[in-house]
Amino acid sequence: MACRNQDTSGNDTAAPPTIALVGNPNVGKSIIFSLLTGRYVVVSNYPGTTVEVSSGAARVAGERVEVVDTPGVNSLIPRSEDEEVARAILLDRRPRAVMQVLDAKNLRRGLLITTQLAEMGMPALLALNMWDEAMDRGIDIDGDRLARALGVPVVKTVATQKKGIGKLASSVADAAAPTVRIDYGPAIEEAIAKLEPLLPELPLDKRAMALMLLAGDPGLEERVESEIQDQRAGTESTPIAPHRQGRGRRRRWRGGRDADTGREDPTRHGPGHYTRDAIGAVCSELQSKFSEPVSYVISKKRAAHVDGIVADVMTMHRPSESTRLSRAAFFYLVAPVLSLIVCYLSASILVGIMNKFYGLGANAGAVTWWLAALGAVCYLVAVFRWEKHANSISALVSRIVMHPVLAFPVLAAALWIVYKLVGEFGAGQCVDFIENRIFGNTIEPAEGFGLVDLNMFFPGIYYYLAEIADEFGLLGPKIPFAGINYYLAQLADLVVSRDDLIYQLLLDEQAGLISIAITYSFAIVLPVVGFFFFAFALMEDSGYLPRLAVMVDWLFKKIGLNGKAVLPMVLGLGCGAMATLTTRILGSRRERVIATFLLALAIPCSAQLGIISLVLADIGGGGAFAIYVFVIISQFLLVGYLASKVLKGRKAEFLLEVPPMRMPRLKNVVVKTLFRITWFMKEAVPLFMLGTLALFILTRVGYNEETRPMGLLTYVERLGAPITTHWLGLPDSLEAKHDHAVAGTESDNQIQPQTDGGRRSTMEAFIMGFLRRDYATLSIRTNFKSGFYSSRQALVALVVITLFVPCLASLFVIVKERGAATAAIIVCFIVPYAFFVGGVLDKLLRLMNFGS
Amino acid sequence: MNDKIDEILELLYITDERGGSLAEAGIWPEARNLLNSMAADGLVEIGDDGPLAMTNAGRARAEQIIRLHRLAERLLEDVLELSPSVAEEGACQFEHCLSTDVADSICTLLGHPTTCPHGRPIPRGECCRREKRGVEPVVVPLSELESGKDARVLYIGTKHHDRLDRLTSMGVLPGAELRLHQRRPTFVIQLGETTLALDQSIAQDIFVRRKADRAKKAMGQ
Ligand SMILES: Nc1nc2c(ncn2[C@@H]2O[C@H](COP(=O)(O)OP(=O)(O)OP(=O)(O)O)[C@@H](O)[C@H]2O)c(=O)[nH]1
Ligand SMILES: [Mg+2]
Ligand SMILES: [Zn+2]
Ligand SMILES: [Zn+2]
Repeated sequence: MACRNQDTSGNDTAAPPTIALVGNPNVGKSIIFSLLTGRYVVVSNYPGTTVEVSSGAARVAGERVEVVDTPGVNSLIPRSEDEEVARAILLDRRPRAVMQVLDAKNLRRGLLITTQLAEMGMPALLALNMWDEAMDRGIDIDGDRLARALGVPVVKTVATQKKGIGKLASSVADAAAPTVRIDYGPAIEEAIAKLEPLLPELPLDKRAMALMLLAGDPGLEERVESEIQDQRAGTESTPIAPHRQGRGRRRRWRGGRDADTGREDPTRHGPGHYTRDAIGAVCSELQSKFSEPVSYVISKKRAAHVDGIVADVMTMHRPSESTRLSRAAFFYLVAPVLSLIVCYLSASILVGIMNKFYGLGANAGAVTWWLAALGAVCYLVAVFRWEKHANSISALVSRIVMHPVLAFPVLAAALWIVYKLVGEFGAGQCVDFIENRIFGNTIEPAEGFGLVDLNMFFPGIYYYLAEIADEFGLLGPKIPFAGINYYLAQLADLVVSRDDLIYQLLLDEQAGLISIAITYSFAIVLPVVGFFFFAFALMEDSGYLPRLAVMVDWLFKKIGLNGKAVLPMVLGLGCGAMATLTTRILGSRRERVIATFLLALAIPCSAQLGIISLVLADIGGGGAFAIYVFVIISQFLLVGYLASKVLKGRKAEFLLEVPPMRMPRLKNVVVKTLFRITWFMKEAVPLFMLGTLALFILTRVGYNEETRPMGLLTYVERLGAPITTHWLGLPDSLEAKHDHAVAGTESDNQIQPQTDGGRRSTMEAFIMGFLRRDYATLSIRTNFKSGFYSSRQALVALVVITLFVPCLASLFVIVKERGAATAAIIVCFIVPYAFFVGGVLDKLLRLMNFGS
Repeated sequence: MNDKIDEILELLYITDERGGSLAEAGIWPEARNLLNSMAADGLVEIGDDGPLAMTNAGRARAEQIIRLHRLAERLLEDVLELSPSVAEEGACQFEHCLSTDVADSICTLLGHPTTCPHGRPIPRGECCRREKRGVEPVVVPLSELESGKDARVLYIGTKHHDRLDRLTSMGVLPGAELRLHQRRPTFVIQLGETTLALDQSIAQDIFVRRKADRAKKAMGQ
């Protein structure tokens, strides 16, 4: 999920040597990358964090090198797009050294990759990372012995504490190809010997290439094929073609790669086909000698070899004393308190809902406490029952948050906390504070700050402080601050008149670049996105997110995906563009397309969601909120279900590595949040400005009081009127423009002072929607606040804009990842569909007499 | 002689199983003499133009043979991983030389399978009836292991190449020790320090052997 990556494949001679970081997923490659290069890339506690290559300069062993971070792989024969990206680095960049990062507590799996590196002849060095966790679990590894067994440097590291990184860097000089040679048995060895002379020259050891081909490796098959053709055609051996474009053509050598097929494709042409045939023949001949897939036979041999090494270097101890102490503290102190909190939170949510229907009255409080106590007892029983089995506290917590029953109160509590933090505090109080008190507006001065503002951060504190403050006479006078926009307007008054074009461009109450674009970016988007990313980082780093995948797998199966898709979906709440990139971790093209599609359709990003919740809160009542959530979720499921029916393909199967629960490191959470906020703002603010500018021009050019009251936008309004006014039931902005002068402002909401001639455009939101959906939502908010939209109309507009086209940034990523054709289909479906749903909703709401 | 009788009983049983009348077995009139002597032993009832029905005794004996045959198929194909044709040949020999006790222990080892690799039902034996009273099979697909139990991976029965590769690269290989944490909402297993969540459909393909101490404890109950 690294967001900005430069693909530095242009290799010129002066380029510094490459050091590639590879290893299993979630072992700490990215964190080591950051430590070596000083460049931050996203570090999270789940496999598949990194899906793109990022590189940075570093100085190791007295030499300037380029360090490359890669997505995690479980095998160097890639089985998903992100794994392909990682392997391509090894083949294309010819790294000076491969720094393999291993999870010390999962040595066996790490060494499976080391043996593959050995076969490829890659100079390597090993970082036994997470040494702290291995020790806690009583795992000890003899590093020297391992180094001797493999013939490569082995360094124990704890990346989170920066331990061993210096030694790791200085060991790069000693990197050597691991001296592991596995005998795969006569049949396979014979096939390797037959293949080796047939293979073209690639930057890869022949034996490794042969093994990969025998095991079935579509990516490599394509490379070899194009290489053979190039050689036959007499051309120079060119840099290898980007192989991803040919994904559709895979499986051509041997029909299917499954054990049951040895068929050959009759439609082979091209100069190299004799060699290709010969390679294919060796592969299928070997397969016919085994009843199991050859790759499985190879894996088993490899694993047996690795087991020998592991048995030689690894010993198990009892967990250390300090661990036992913290265990006791956890079981007798933390666990009871936590379970009571969790149960109380979820009980109060439950009782709150029950109260709506049955009216528990005065009993509600008692019922909540009883439920909470009961729940807490359940938790404690589970905790103590599993105590002796769980070999660590994190393992125990892990089991609880995945338990079929016990997990739900935890989920409810987690959502509640996120809602309080992001929804109420971030999108509510912080937005209110920054928008009205810090930025203010150009017309009236803002209130200024006072002691009362402390209440925002420490609810209730004002109550106690008020008396004391009163005593000392501090309560009354506030720190006067009229708001940035107000001061700017005053300042501008000294230079230009308010009718001046420059003034209007920057500070116009309706379309000023500063008073609108900048103010909205920092007053609304920034706090919402910031708090969301913070909460999200906590979920990521604790390891809760992948466990969510376990819980909702069944639901995602219904829409042709599996639990794994939770990661991109939740990420989509942060930013659609990032999320679309992360769909690479999904297993098949079908899943990736469905996920991309749903992300574009029904997942609003946090900025948009924050503004939506503001409007919904203004509409009032839980009703609007419930309807909105229901419509969006039901569309998500419905369209997903239909898409899974339309798109053919093998059923998505769920196989996910669940990382251990970890205590989030505050530093990483903060750095990651800031990193993502910066990225988001860089993306959003220019587009906000651009959109505002475009609107400014549209409304000014061709302005005519009578015929074109909104400038060029008038035409757009007229064009869109059939849909917006007749089908969606939104008000006609052109008529409203006329009425406005007559009706005055009596119905207006007082929060935003309404000047005459306020722009009240319906189409604006949809035009802006193409740039950014959050911006479009802001326009709806303005329309609602000014009383132009009724509650019903606002709700309909919100739904349409949520389903509406993905924002520009996401669209670019969709085109890049899924191709222009798929992107076009997605957009062509979504736009009419969003309007369709909006219209139906409008009719239903009218039937329900909503908002009247 | 006995083997011949067994073959005929087997044939009759399969014909019956398929829902045909015994006359369709196609052994009349070639095996007339044999059938007559079988009728004398009270194994079949015969009419003027062929066998009419198996007696209870005949059916019981046929079931035993079929059971042996199909258990042998399972053993040879699933555990020893022989190709279907080799397994079939072996099974045909097994059915004549295995005793009921050996059959029952094979049956227990395999987890009292209910069907043969071709999907036909395996007649229940004494061991299967006992199983209802709490004796657990030793080899089960992961999907049938109870949560909280330890087991060792014996073999992976999938033919999906991709699935196999992903499982093996995550360390799910024959010999790996695992514990099943939970079965719902998805299966969660732990191998060493790796925790994996997987589908029921994948769990069905992973055949495991229970850890001995635990299996014994279960038998003692
Ligand atoms: N306790 C401990 N945790 C570590 C250590 N190194 C990394 N981590 C944690 O492991 C998690 C994964 O780290 P990343 O750097 O994102 O791992 P990665 O290998 O880049 O993962 P992918 O990009 O998903 O392949 C993070 O939560 C880190 O905090 C370590 O030495 N000790
Ligand atoms: Mg990473
Ligand atoms: Zn059979
Ligand atoms: Zn049985």
